[in-house]
Amino acid sequence: MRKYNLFLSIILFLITTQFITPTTQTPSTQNSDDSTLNRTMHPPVTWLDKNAVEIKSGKFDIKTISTTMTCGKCHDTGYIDTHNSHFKNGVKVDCIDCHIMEPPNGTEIKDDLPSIYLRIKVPSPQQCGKCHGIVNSSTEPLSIPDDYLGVTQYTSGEKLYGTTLHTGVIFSPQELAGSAMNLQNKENLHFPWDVHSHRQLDCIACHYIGNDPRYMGDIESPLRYLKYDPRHIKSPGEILKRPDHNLQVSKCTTCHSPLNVHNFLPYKKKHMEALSCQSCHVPIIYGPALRSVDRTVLTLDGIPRFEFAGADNSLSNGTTLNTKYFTGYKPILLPEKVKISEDQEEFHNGRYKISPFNLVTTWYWKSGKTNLPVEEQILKEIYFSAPGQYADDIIRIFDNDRDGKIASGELLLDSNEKISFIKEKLRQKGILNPFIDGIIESYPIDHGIFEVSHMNRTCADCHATHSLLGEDILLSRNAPLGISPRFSTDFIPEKDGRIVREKDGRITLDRTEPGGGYYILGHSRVKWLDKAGLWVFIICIVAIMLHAFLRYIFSFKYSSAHTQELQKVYRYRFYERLWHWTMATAVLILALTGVQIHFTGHIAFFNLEHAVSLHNILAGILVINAVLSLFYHLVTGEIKQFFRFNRLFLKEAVLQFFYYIYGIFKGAPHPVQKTSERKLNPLQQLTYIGLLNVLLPFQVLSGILMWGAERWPAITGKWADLAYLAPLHNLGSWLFLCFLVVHIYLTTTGDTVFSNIKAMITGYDSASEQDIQGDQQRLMDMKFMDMVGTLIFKMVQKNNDLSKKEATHE
Amino acid sequence: MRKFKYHWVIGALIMIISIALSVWLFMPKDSTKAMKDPWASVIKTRHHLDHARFFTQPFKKPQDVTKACLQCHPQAAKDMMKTVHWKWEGDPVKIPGHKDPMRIGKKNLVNNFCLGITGNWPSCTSCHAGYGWENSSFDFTKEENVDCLICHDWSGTYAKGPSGYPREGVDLLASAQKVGYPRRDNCGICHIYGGGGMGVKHGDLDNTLVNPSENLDIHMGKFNFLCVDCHKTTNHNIKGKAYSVSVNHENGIFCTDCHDAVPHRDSRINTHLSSVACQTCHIPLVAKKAPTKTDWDWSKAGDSSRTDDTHTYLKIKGEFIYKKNLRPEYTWFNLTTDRYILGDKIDPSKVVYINKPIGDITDPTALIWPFKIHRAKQPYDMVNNFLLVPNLSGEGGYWHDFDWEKALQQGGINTGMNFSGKYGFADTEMHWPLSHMVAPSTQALKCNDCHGDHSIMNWKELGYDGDPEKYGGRITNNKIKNPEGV
Repeated sequence: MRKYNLFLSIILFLITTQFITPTTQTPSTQNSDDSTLNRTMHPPVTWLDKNAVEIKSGKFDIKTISTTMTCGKCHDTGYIDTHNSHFKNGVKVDCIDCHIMEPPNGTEIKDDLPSIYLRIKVPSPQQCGKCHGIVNSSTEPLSIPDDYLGVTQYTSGEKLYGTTLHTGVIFSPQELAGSAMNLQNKENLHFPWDVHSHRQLDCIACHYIGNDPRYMGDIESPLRYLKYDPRHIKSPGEILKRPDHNLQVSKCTTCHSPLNVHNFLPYKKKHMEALSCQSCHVPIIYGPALRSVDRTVLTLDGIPRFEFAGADNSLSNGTTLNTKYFTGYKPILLPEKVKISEDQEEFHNGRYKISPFNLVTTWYWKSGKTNLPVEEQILKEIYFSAPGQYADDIIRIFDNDRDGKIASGELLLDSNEKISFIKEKLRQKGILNPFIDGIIESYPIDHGIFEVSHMNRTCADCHATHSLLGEDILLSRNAPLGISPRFSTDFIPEKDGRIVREKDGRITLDRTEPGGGYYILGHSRVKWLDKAGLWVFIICIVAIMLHAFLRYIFSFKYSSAHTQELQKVYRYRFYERLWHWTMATAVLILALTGVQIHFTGHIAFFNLEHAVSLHNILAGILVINAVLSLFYHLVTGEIKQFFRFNRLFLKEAVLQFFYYIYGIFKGAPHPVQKTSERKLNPLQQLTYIGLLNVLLPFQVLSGILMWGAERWPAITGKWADLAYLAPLHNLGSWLFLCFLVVHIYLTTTGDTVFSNIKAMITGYDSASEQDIQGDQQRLMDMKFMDMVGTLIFKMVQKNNDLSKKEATHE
Repeated sequence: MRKFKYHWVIGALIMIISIALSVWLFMPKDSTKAMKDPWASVIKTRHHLDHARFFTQPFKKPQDVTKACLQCHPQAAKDMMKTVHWKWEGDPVKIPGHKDPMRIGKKNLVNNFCLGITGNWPSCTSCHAGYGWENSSFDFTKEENVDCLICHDWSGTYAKGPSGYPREGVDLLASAQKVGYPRRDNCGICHIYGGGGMGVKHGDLDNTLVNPSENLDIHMGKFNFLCVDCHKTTNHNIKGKAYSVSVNHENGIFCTDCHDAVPHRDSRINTHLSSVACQTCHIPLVAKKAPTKTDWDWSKAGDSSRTDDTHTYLKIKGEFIYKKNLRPEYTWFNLTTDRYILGDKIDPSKVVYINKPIGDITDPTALIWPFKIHRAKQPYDMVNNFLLVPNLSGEGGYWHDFDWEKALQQGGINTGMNFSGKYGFADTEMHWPLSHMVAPSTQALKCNDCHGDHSIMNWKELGYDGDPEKYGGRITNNKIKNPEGV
């Protein structure tokens, strides 16, 4: 399709040149070697004023040229005016503003106005930058213009630096290191302000005219089977006559195929769904972006008090911005509702997309009657007696330290006295019920794209306790007393978070989660679940330690209950041991990596990327191992080991239980004999049935679903969302951890502390196949309830005996 | 028979191997291809033997030092005498426009600085690695006349004067006691000061490279390279080619001797390799700390009313322009040059190229290279239309009598040229391809330096239709001619 575009544009070019050449005469000046002159394709024009009279002499003034008369001869200016994003809502930008670079106003016109003087061309970035922000594609080192802050007023027709002022992005191919600005770590910033500018893309490459035939693919063809329909192009002349000046905004995906790269990203598609490209590709902005503007006060220069994001704001406004120390700020990542039309076209199906923003908080004096900001001229009259000279009563009120000057720290409405003073003054000027209003506005960040090789985003930037997606946002260092700002009505992202006024006067946006229903692995946590899991785990550990301690104490009293030489029997077959230890290793590594992934930022055994990969690989090994061992147990019949239930099972289980809580301390023999036919005691049987049939499948399934969310979104996407899969998987892992510690502890309850572990390694276990003692046999013969009663009685009695004995000792 | 007790070890091994293998298989790997390690071909350490104890008696003549050296290094002079540093001429090569292969070198060539050594031996041969080249009858076979110290002196006190003899006051014993492998200042004595002053000739070689910073030259600055680290030397034959005296790249050095042939991570940059030399981007500027001579007008010489200044005017030499932070000029170059040979006819209405680089956009072996171009006005014979080498120094020379006619007459005799008696000054250009002063990668040229509105390249002059970013490169536009004509 791109080939078609190229082909068509060539045809278009040929046709237009064919179309134009016979009707025009090449002016002699174009024969000169000046190659820049040849860059314009536009034929020469006769410049007419509003009365259709040719401008031939006098002092040149661009305003005398009538675009309707001059341009309107060939182009349908009426159509352009009505189809023009720059010609509505109070904005009136005409042909000349964008298509003629630097008109030589004031020069004397001799014979006529040569077209060379006024070169008509497609808008260059500088042309767009005249209004939109700092643009510099020249070789002059980039600097902040002197009028950068002086133009923030409501006056129209002046230069505005909107985009740069509000977001800090600068459109320039130059390297940051080569700029005239004072940037932190400047000598290492060897990358351009914007890669697209550096790669020679101009503004109109992405902001193209609405009926640009090259991009007609974006407009839906009436023929559903066509993505690109060349029949949209009526004729090249049509486009030249009626260019639709509603400038389009191309998406990153118009040119880029993000899914073809980003292979380093786990959950590639998920990331693309959840994040806009700029969220990662604009990691930091060094340009002079506003953080807050306090328009309730005026500095000596007669401008509001500005605070910059990512800058040392200790310097007063008077210093030039080029010497201000900019450290750069990280754009604020906030969820933004995704439009439905976009949904259909792109691959994501989420309701929200996280995008970078800059938030600018502004305080105004407003009139209670009109609810509009008070004009700055009125404030100037209040604050100043003469330009650069504060009024005496202002100094009296604001000068806290009585040095006759208003320092930058004092220029703040931080007391009721100051506020009511200004309020009174405003009333005198005829403002009804003046009040202070604070508004937070959001500015999306679309430019300032980083050089990829200089991006140092890591997983832990977001997937960690301290995440870019959950950090508190500083809205303003200072604020007028008692005024809490509110979100503006056209605030784009979701308004989540709490606006907090800190003790030191700072205003912050407190947020813990990004909102939008995201679960960010490593950052998001279900707190109660974590707490519960941790408590269960701690209880297990404490119980084990207590048990072990008691065993140790009593081992002196009841030592070597049975010391006869034990015979060795081969009990665990080779494969049994192999699968056991493979399982053990896998679970151990899964636990370690899992803990790290869950608590990124707190615990680190590996680097996060490796931890995630290891976790996935070991999970795979575990699943394969489990399947193979299931097969083994089935074909050998060993599976019966888990299901040996007879009518004595319950009794045996109780005996085993009492053994663990009582008999073991006395050095009593195991109540249930371990034989090669019956390797597991009743309690083990129950535990393993639960572990292998419930917990393991649960954990494997939840894990596979989390892993598969990227691979088979169609299957998993609908009913398995990370937001509850992750906590469930997490719950399972807590239980697994508990099993692990208890299991390991219970291996020490064999004949010696390590005999069971040794048996599981070598396969040879000590055969303690003595007959069940008479005592045990008697218990087994009792009725169930009697047996339990006897056991409890014996335990209590013996304990009493013990305590009595100890008492007599003392 | 007792059963093997440790067969569980086999199980443990199976387990470890299967886990390790699957981790190794499935762990995401860094997909970037391993690059050639540039350090693999760099000599890490050099051995140096303190020679102080070998020499105790003062030397009477410099030749005595050489003889002393040859006692232990008998092959050294023989090897040295086979090289261009001694012969000042190379093996026979084919020169475009000339039928038979010819031996060329400093010995017989003309340049546009001090014009030529013929007849000016005493001053020019102060850079000859030998003693006593005073006239055309110098004996190139005498081993004792080889000057070892000029390249091996570490005392820093050794200096050469007319005809290559040590200057008066040089302590030969002190120098001999402190000999070692050649360091940057050793090579620099001639290669930095060539042309009669610091930085006159090369542009990318001047005294600031003796102790350079990282920004000046990454190899010598950051990694403290010596000249001989790249100009690798075996048996006194030093690798490398200077296009002021050569016409091809035999025995030359390439960046790719150490660096990977496809060295960038960004494939867009790598596509440039088919048309752009490494040096073009990586040597964005030369003469970064000290200026280099770019223009030399001999026709203005001899004016005693003007005050002498090394960098603007000297009565004996004429008018100069020196430039600092010089942006190179770019042209196609296939590593061979044309060469002006004494006697070649010139067209005085046009610029005479002393060593025009061969290659253009159609030449698949040519790349866009950076050059320092030295422009001069130098004497030529208006009747015969060829360049002349005047006699400058000594009795009857121009620097003595300031009489061009006499100097050219005598020069004509020395060089065997038939000077008609009528002379003029022709515009000449000499091309110096640049390979030193390699900047750190952060300072290399970037996209917008060549592409876009502020390009440093003159694309039309290079043969493109326009900025190749918009018009396509020479491959897309089928501009390359197949040399076989297939």
